Amino acid sequence: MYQSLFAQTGNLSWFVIKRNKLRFLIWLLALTALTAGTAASFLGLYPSEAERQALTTAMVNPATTAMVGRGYGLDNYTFGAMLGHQMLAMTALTAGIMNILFVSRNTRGDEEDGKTETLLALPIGRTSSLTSVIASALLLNVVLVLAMTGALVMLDIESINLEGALLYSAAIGLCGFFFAAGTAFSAQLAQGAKTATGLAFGLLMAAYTLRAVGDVNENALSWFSPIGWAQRTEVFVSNIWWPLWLLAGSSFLIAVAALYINAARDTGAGLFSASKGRKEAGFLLQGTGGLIWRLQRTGIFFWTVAMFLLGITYGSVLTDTEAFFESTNVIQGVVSQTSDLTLSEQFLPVLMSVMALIGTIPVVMAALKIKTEEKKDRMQHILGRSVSRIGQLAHYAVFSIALSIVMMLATAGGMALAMDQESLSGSTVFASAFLYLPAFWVMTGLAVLLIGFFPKYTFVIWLYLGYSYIAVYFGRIFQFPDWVGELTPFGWVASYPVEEIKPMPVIGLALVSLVIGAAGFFGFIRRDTNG
Amino acid sequence: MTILETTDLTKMFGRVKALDRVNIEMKEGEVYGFIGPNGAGKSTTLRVLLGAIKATSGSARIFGKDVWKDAVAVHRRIAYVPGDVSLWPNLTGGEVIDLFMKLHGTKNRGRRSELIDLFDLDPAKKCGTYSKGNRQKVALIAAFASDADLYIMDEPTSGLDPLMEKLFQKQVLEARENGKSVLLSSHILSEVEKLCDRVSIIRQGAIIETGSLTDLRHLTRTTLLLETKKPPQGLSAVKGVHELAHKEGAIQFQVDTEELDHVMAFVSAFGIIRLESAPPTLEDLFLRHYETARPQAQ
Ligand SMILES: Nc1ncnc2c1ncn2[C@@H]1O[C@H](COP(=O)(O)OP(=O)(O)OP(=O)(O)O)[C@@H](O)[C@H]1O
Ligand SMILES: [Mg+2]
Repeated sequence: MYQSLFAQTGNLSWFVIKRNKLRFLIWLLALTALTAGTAASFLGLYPSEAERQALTTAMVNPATTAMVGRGYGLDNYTFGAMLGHQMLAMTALTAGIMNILFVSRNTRGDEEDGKTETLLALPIGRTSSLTSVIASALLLNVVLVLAMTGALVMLDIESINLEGALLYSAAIGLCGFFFAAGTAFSAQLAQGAKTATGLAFGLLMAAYTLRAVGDVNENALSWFSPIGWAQRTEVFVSNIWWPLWLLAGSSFLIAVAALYINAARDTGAGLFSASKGRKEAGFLLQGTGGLIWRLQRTGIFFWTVAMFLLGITYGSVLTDTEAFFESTNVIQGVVSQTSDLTLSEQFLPVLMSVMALIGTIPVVMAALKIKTEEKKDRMQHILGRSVSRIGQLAHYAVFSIALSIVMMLATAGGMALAMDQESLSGSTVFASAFLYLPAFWVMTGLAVLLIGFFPKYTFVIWLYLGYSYIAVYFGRIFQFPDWVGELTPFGWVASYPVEEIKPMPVIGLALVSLVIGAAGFFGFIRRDTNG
Repeated sequence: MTILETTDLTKMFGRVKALDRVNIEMKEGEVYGFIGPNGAGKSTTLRVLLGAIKATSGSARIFGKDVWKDAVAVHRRIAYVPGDVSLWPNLTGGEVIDLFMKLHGTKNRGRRSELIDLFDLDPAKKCGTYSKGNRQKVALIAAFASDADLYIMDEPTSGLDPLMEKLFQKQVLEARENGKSVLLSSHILSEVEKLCDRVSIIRQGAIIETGSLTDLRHLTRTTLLLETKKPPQGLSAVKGVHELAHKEGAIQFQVDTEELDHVMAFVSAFGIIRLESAPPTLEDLFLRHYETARPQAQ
C-alpha cells in the first residue's frame, strides 16, 4: 500500500527542489527582505512612542482596515504591533502567491507537458509525484519561517522577541502552505494548468476579500479566511497560538483530499472532464487576433470582474472612511487640513496605485502569452503560414494595450459606482485611473523587448513588477528616497487629484514604451524562433 | 524549373555546427526525400527553409524568393507540417483546421470535409484529448486542404498507423499528379522508395549523397561468395572490393555495384568454381551511412 502510493517520494522531492532552487531562493530572499526591511524601517520612521501612538489615528479607519486588517494593541502601539497589524496580511498574501505558482507549475504544468507520465513509468508510487511537490512546498515554507524568524530576531527590537517572531513567521508560512495544499487540490479538479492556477488564485482572492469585508464590518466573515485566522494570533501583543492549529489542520485535510483524488483519477484527466466542442471554427476564430481572444477570453473575463469588484470594494471603503472621519473628528494629522480636497480625493491616489499594479498583471501576461506559444511549439503553425513576425507580435502587443484600458475602465467603473458622488466625482476617478495607462504601456513595451531579445528571461518582468509594487506602495508609507520610485514607470504617474496632471510624465512614459517596444520588434524579426 | 534551392547553407547553434554547407536543388513537380539518422539536421534544414531560424551563411530560396526576407510571400504558396505537432488543448480539431486554412488564405470547404472523412478524424474533439497520431492528422489535413505549390513535411508519418500511412502516401502521389512539389524528411526507407523521385542523405549536418533512387542503387554493394581454382591473390587490393572474409573454403566479399565489371574480369583469371551473389539493397546503403555516423558522432 505504502509502496504503491508513495515509493520514491523522497528522491522525487529532491528532484523538485533541485529544479526549483533558483526560484526558491529568489522568493525566500524577497519575502525575508520585505519583512526585515519593513520592521527596520519602522525604527527610523517612528523613533518615539508619541509618533507611534499618533500613527494609530491614521491607521485605524475602514480603508486601512480593508487593506491590512483590524488594528490591535493600539493602546501601546509597539513596533511589533505595527508589524503584525500592517504587514501580516500582505506578507501572507505574497506567500500565498509564491506557493500557488510553485505548486501549479510542478503539478498540472508538468502533467500537461507529459513529464508526469514519463515519471510514472518509473518505479514510483501513484501519488509520489504530487506528494513530493507538497513535501517540497512544506519544506520551502519551513525554511521561510526559519529565515524570517532569524531575520526578525537579529534586528533586536524590544517588542519583537523570539516567540513573537516565530509566531509571526509561522502564521505566514502556514498561510502559504494552506494555499500550496489548495493548489494541489484544485489541480486535481481542473483539466489544464491554467484553470487550476485560476481556481487557486480565486481561492486566494476570496480569502483576502472575506477577511477585508469581515474586518471592516467587524463580523464573522473573517473566520472563513485562512488569512483571517493568521491575524487572530494578535502576534507581538497577545501571541495567541491556537489559530495556527486551524491553519495546519485544514491544510493537512486539503492535502490529504488532493492526494486521495490524485490516486483515484487518470493522469491527464480531471474531475471535470473535457467536453466535445464545435466541428468548425466560429466567426471569431478567423486569424491571430481571434486565436488570442479565444485562448485568453476566460482569463480576461475573470480579471475584468475581479478588477470591477476591487473597484467597488475600495469605492465603498472610501465612502465608509468619509463617514468614519465625519463621525469621529480625528481628522487632524491624518490628512492635510489645508487642502480643499475631500478625504476620498486624498486617499484616491494610494488606492489607485495599488489597483493599477494589480491590473498590470493580466496586461503583462497577455503580452507574454506569445512566449508560451513559442515554448509549446505552437507558434510555428502561425508563422509558417501567411503571418509575418511583426504582425504576430503586434497582435499580442495591441491586445495587451487594449487590456490595460479594459482593466482601468473596470476598476474606475466599479469605484465610481460605489462612491458617493459628492466626495469624489466619477470624472476624477476615471482621470486618476487613466493616468496610469502610459505606465502599463511601458510594461507592455518591456515585455515586447524581452520577447525580442531575451525570450528565456521574460520572468525578469515579474521581478520588476514586484519591485514597482514595493517602490510605489511601501515607498509612500516609508518615504523611500525619490530615485527608488523613479526607477519604475508607476513612480512617475501623477497622484491626481492631490498633484495636478503634468503632461511631461505622460508623454515621457508613452515615448519610452514606444522606443523599447520598437526595439523589441526589431529583435523579434531578427532572432531564431524555437517552434 | 527549380522551385527550391539552397547553396552552402550553414547553421551554427552557438559553437555547434548543425548544418554544414547543405546544397539542395529541387525541381517543380518533384517529390524530394530527406533522410538521415537522428540529429543529422533534417528538422534544422526544414526550419531554415521555413524562415523560423536564420542561416548563419549560405542562401536558401523558394520560388526564387529568399526564405528569411520574403518569408510571408513564400508561405502563401507552401504548406508545412512540423515533426512534432502540438496544438491548443482547448480548441477542437475542426477549429484548428479552419484556423490554419484561414491563416494560409485558403477556402476549400469541400476538400476539408473530404480529407476529414478520409483520415477518419473526429473534428469535434478537443485537441487536448487527441492522440499523437490524431494531432498529426490535424496538421496533415490542414496542409493538404490548403492550396499550396510546395509541401514541406518533417517526418509526416511518425505516429500514423499503417492504414493512415497508406492514405498519406496516396495524398502525396495525388499532389504530385497535380503538379505540386513535396519535400519530406523520413526515417522510413520503404516510404522514401515508394514516394520520392530524388533523395538526399544527410549526416552530421552535411549532405553525403544525392540522386534519384536509380542513381543511389549504383552506390550499393553486391555481396559475392566466390570459390576459385587458384587462390585469388591480390583481390583485396582491387578497387571496389570491401570486407573480404574467408568462409568454408570460399571467399566472401562486397563489391561496389559500379566496379562489378572489372572485379569480375579480375577474378575470372583464377578459374571460377562457384559464384553466388546477393542482390544489392538500398537498406544496406542506408544502414552503412547510418552506422558510420555513429563512431564520428561520439
Ligand atoms: N535550438 C537548438 N539549439 C542548439 N542545438 C540545436 C538546436 N536545434 C537543433 N540542434 C542540434 O542540431 C542538430 C540537428 O538537429 P535536427 O533536429 O535538425 O536533427 P534531425 O535530423 O531532425 O533529427 P531527428 O531524426 O531526431 O528528428 C542536433 O545535433 C541538435 O542537437
Ligand atoms: Mg527532426
